[in-house]
Amino acid sequence: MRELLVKPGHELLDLIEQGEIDHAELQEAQYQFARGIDERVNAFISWDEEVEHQEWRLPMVDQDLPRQFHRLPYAAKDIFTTKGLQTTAGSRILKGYVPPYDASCVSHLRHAKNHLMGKTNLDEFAMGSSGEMSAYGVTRNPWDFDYVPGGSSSGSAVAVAACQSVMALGTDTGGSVRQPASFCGIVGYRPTYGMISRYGLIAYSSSCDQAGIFARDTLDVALTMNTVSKPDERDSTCQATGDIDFYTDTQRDVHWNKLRVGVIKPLMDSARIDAPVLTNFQASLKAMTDAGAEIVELDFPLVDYYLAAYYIIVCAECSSNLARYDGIRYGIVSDDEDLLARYRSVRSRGFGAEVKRRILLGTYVLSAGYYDAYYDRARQLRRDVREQLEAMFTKVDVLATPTSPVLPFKIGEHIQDPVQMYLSDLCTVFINLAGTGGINIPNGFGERDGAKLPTGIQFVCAPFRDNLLLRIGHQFEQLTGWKYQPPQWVLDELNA
Amino acid sequence: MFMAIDVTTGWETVIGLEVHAQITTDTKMYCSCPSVNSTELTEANRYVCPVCLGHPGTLPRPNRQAVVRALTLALKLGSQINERSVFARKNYFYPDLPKGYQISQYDLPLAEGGELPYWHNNAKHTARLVRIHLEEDTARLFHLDDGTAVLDYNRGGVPLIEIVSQPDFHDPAECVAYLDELRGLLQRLRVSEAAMESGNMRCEPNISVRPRGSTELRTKTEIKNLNSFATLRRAVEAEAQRQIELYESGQTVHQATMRYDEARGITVPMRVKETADDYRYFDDPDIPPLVITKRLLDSAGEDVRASIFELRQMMAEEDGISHEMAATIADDRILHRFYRLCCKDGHDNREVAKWVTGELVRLLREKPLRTEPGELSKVLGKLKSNELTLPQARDVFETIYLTGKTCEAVVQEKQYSGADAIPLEQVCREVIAANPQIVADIQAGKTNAVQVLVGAVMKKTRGGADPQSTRQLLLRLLNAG
Ligand SMILES: [Zn+2]
Repeated sequence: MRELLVKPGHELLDLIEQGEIDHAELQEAQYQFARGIDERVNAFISWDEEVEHQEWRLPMVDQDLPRQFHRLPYAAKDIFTTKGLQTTAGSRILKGYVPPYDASCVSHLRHAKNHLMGKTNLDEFAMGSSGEMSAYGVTRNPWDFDYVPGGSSSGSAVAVAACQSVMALGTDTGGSVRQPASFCGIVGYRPTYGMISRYGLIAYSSSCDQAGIFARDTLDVALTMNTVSKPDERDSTCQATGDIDFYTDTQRDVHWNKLRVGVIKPLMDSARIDAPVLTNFQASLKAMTDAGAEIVELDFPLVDYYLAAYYIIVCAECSSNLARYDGIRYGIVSDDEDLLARYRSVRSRGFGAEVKRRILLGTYVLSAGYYDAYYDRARQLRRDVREQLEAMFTKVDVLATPTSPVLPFKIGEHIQDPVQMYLSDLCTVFINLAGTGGINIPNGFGERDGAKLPTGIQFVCAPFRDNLLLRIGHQFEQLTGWKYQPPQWVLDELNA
Repeated sequence: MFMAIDVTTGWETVIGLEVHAQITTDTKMYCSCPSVNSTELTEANRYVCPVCLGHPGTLPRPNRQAVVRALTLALKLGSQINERSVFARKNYFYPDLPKGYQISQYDLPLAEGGELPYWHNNAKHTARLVRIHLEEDTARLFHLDDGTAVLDYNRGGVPLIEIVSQPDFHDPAECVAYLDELRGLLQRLRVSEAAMESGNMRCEPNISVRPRGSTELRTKTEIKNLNSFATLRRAVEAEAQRQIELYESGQTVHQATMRYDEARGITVPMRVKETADDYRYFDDPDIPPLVITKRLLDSAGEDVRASIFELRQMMAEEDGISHEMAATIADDRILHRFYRLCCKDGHDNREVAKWVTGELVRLLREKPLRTEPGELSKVLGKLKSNELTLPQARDVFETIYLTGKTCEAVVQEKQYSGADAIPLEQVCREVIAANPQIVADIQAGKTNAVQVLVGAVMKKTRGGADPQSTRQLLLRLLNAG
């Protein structure tokens, strides 16, 4: 059974449906394997031990629905609330917090009788791009343990890459799904804002946060979308309709010779993009051109400004979203008698350095006298980014960029230099500002100090053209003959 | 120590009012917990859920019913309804605020402008409104004797409507008259129970003073936690006095939030930091702008009608007045106000309804109103204690209505002192003296002719005399004569 754990979910589902394997045995094998290797990568914060099989007793999933992510093991970033199972957001302040309710997408997956194995590690409150900012230890890149797996959904990316899970949920506020997917060599998809309910997703920056999906291929992403992209009246910003069959749609043909692929010139500049990343990106473009695609070069005048606008907006929102952690109703407590001392104690002990930095920055940019100069201008810039992207999509069907401007970096390399860390979001954040969708598809490896590390290409769609995006992702995988192969040590463990 | 504003000083008080009222809805503002009136005694923290406790990951969902109810008020007040309004976060830390921010409205409220006419000192005033917006109530924090504090989140997240007036008031009595009018309107429209005693209607006055005759607006202070009209009146007076004394001793007034110390009769700055210097308002990214569609507006218009219909039903069923009268009263702001306040003074519902739909309706058709419900209430009181007869009472009320004088003054002027004390004998004698022919007929045995004399007495007393006793008295006088 163990050797099957490298397969994508839709293939495992075929086997289950054909009666070749038993899903309960598959779950058990997956669970044992995941736990067995986790001390090497630290992808999980907690394991679902007590409520392990409860979802199997739920009513059968509706037979009339299009194909679903169903009866398979999965993991969720520890920022999705799970009823009865500790949810920490990677923070000390929520240590021991057991939510009284399930996040909407977790609930959908439960009702489709999937098995949640556990909750994955992350940069605290999703703030970070390296997986080093968790109160529950550093997560390591399975391709080389000295390197970061990317972040903030570091544990979810690693869980899928190291075959600890078939699929994993993550969140993407500025690239937190696409960038770790790129660093770990798997598929990572962030839908258009509103395609998956945010209810139960612990908020960092409400206007940029969006649940996303890690999988071994795009077809698994589509399968999962059929299960989690549903209307939700508990989230006023949710715009999912639930009436697209992503799984079928993704397998429809893309006619490469009719496709116009936009490339953003400043994001192909060797001053901004690492050489191995750029080389692999050029090769990907060539593969598409050879298939008949038209490459259209586009300018993006805001490229030097949107990163600043992005950080102003997310910090502002986080300063407010994280105000609720006061040690009164849940999380760690203080027995100080004075109210102010209590707040001080809980928040000083509970939050890590990066979170504090962003709360302070956010409080500052919203303050009277600074609001106009920072927050308001950032909002204006965000509108401009949207307009410029809209203009681009009148000329092209899809955009392509490198997912990360750099190869995975070493653990500890940027920890003292937050600005350098922020720069690694260069290719991903404008999508979050514009509220549209993006996907990382692995496109090769690059070398750094003797380590062989994955790279990825990012495709970006116009808002709510996600079905086209997934189709292109799937076709790109076909075009390059790509099939997920885990690092050798994982293969060895699987076959041991 | 009671300090009244000395009108002879050179200072004028300028007051603006912020009113918060809990909107009557089935569920809370942003979640589906039952919205419980603060007067209802319930077990603490019974109506709570992850959303109104501010659990991580939860999201607000605005309550459509609250929006519609607030719109009914805005429509009634003639406010400009913003086609697109925005929910904003007001950020501050306090244990009664589970999310660390209150979802309110800031730049773009539900409605702006509008006005509310009200009566004060027998004159019609108009309060201009700044804005009407929606927000959520905070939880209740109780300080126990042992120094600990406990929280009840039942109230947290209950929908509130905030009605902000221009600084158009200059005297606490004016404020009270306006608040009373607003309260009546909120109740008639079924927007809120608007009971100040139980805290589901709260008022925060902001106060400044200026030299009489000047039009400048000086630094204002705000008073919080006032729970009755009487307290409001005393607090405003005390605060105005404090500011005047500051200016007169060469000092200045600083912007502050004050609380009224009932025992000492003075205002003091709030001790607990329940407010912040900077709320860092920004648009709530969790809630898309509220677009007021034609459907919502129609629904609100429908509600204005429905609430009046409901009110009518209630008056007919609970107060026992006829449906016809209930309909007349419910449809009119002034009639309902008179009805409500006179009933509150303890007069019989049916009796009040008769006066309101009879005399008051008749007079309103003829001339503008120049009096207040309290005067009608006094007339009804005198009628009940037989200090006035029914016809006299009608006459007195008509005079009050037309002149704006008080009941006492009119009664004194007319020298009415009730049916028994009327100098009936004197009137009878006059009538006898003026009708020798009829007197002769009676004395000749045509006893029925006495009715003519009775009629004359009635006319002279404007119906004040009782026909039966008048007849007996006339006969007695004639026999004696
Ligand atoms: Zn609730």
